[in-house]
Amino acid sequence: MKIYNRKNNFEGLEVFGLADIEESLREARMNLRNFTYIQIIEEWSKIGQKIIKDKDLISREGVLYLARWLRKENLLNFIVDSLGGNLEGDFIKLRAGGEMIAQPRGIVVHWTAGNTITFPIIALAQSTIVKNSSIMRASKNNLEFTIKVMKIINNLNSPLSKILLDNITIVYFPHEEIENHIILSKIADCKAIWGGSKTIRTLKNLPEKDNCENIIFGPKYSMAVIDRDSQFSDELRDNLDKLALDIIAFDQMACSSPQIIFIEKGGLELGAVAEILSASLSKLSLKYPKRLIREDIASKIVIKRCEFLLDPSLDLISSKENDWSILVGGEVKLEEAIQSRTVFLKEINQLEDIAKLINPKIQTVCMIAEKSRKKLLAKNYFYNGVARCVPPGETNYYDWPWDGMNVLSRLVRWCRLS
Amino acid sequence: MDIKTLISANPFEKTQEEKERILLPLIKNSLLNNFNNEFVSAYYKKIGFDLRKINFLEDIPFIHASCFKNFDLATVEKDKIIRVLTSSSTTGQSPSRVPLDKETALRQTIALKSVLSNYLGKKRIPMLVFDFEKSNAESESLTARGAGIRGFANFASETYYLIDEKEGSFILNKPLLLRANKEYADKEIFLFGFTYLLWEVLTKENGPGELSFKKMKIFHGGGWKKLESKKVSKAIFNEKISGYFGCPSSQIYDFYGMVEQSGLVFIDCEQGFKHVPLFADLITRDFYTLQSITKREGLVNIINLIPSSYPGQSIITDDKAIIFGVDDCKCGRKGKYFEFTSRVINQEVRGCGDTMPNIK
Repeated sequence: MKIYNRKNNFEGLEVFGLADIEESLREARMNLRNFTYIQIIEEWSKIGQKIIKDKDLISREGVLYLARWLRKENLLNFIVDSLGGNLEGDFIKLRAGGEMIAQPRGIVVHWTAGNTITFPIIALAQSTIVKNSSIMRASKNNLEFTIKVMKIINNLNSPLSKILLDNITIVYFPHEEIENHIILSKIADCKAIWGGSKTIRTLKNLPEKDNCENIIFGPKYSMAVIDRDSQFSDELRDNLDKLALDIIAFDQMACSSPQIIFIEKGGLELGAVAEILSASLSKLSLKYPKRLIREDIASKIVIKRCEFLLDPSLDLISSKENDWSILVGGEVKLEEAIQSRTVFLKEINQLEDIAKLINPKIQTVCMIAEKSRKKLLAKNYFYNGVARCVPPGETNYYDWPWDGMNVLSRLVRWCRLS
Repeated sequence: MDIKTLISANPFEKTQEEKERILLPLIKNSLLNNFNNEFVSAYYKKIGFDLRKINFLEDIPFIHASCFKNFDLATVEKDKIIRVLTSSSTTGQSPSRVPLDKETALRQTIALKSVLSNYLGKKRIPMLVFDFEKSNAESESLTARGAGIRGFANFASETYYLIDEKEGSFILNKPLLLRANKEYADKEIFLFGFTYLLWEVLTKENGPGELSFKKMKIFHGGGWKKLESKKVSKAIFNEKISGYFGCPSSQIYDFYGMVEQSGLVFIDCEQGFKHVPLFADLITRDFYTLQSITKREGLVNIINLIPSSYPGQSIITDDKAIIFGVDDCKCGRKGKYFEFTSRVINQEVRGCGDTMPNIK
């Protein structure tokens, strides 16, 4: 495997084991100990500002959002909401008496999915803010971006930036090299795994320490709903513009990408909503042309388009080329995701009925609904398995809690003093 | 020129330009029949079908081959259907069902004869079928394998089935093969079989050296997906098969066809390319623009004049091919020449987004 760290200027070095790396990470972790959460957050915030100024990086998908996510205010809110309001990392008084304090787990090994280039940086930031060391197994798609950001940190040249980098090692090897995954798994005090079903099953079952914490971000499916009243709202076009942006982001391969939209009956005709959405997707495809299309997905889109054209009860609105497709109509059920700007649009009697379709695999419901109904609907969906209900334009925001987890809290151990 | 005359004409004599000029009006005219099917009619209405806007073969609206699995696409009355062809459905899905009327079945026979005579000559010769007889049994429905055997058998003076089925296994009838070898060692003969079956059976047999069919031509097709998974290339396959039968590997012809386009086969030429006959066309489409492309891999879209009982005039598939040139293949055949590369393979979902939502 190849490792990238401060010692080799993130240029990459072929190694056959990670014993030395583990030792140096465990030593480096001690240097993070005396910094407060705020100090580390401020350093990451500086990194975010540098990323914004890098013309090459900022033009890439998701990078502007990453830079915003690294803002000091956002990270402060993250830590306050997640760790009980203690920014200094001190003891927190317990109502029952005694105190508790959050402590890092040690070395967190991250496996991130290749569908987003920015996620390794988010994972490293949240891990180091709570003073863990990290080994990031990058994927082929996000390695280059991750290394570029590491080099930006290296150029900061501040004492804390050096300490942060000493606590980070990036590794790369082809995903099928299971023996290297085993090496990483055995080192981990905490494994944070993002990916599809096969990846998750493989990685979580590798040999590991008895007390290793496993944080699993498994495969998920997301959708959008539009209530009756919102279909008559002046904001519908604007909302569908935002929803279209959610659909096209990350080529619709993220767990939060909406794959299906349910509109409540009694509002606009299904075709009318499809027309408005098609205008939004059409605008976006001009602004963000599809760069690549996987052959198998291209073929699936062609098949679905034909099926929706042949079936008299269904309809299709799509671009001429294999860019975006709205598959209109069909029975009230979830559909296998096609991805790559392909969305199903269906009618449902009442949005409450969607609860029957929901299971814990549904992560995000993008909700376009009147304020008065939102909470009630969300509670209903949450109870059945949904993890997030968010407005359009925010479905792909990495916010908290995520996947039903308070992630920062999982990255620390809670220790008691009485 | 009427359809039957076109189908029976020399399939590789006309240039691509001449061919398109003849083919386009005939195909356009045949599309109107598709309105007899409620599904195709719905399709055409949704896309604002207008014959006047079809100026090139690539403008003909295509239907994906997989739609024959879920839709009854017959464009003739039920009582006109004489046979339903079914695909082998090896991937565990429902099979394609392709309805044939008399006219389509007749055109298929003429079309196959027209293409095959270009490789086999006009005289009937003995045929070895590398399959069991039941594959071609008389019934209202016929599998792709059966249809293939039946089509090629039109060229046979005699037919010998080389495979016996015993308790679900395929057993080579070796004594019959040895007898045939004795009789036809230096005479013209052809063998027809499915690629995967040939490989599966013959890799279990002894050889080479036992047989010597010097003038035998071998036609095989289908099952490359399975062979690719076993890392068997065309060169490896040809070496094994020519070695076994004792014939030159230049006499082994891989063909590409599909149940939705029966009667239309694309056979390797001496240069290793497949050719498109006069009554059909092959378009490769870019995965994104869906426009016609050449010299790089694209999705295969077949244009075909044969079908009169289903909308087979333009069928897009999951297969990939590269068109290498037009009218200038060194073998002398005119029209497009291409190489079928592989099927589109479903890749593993690697992101955190899943395609299967645990549908209730």
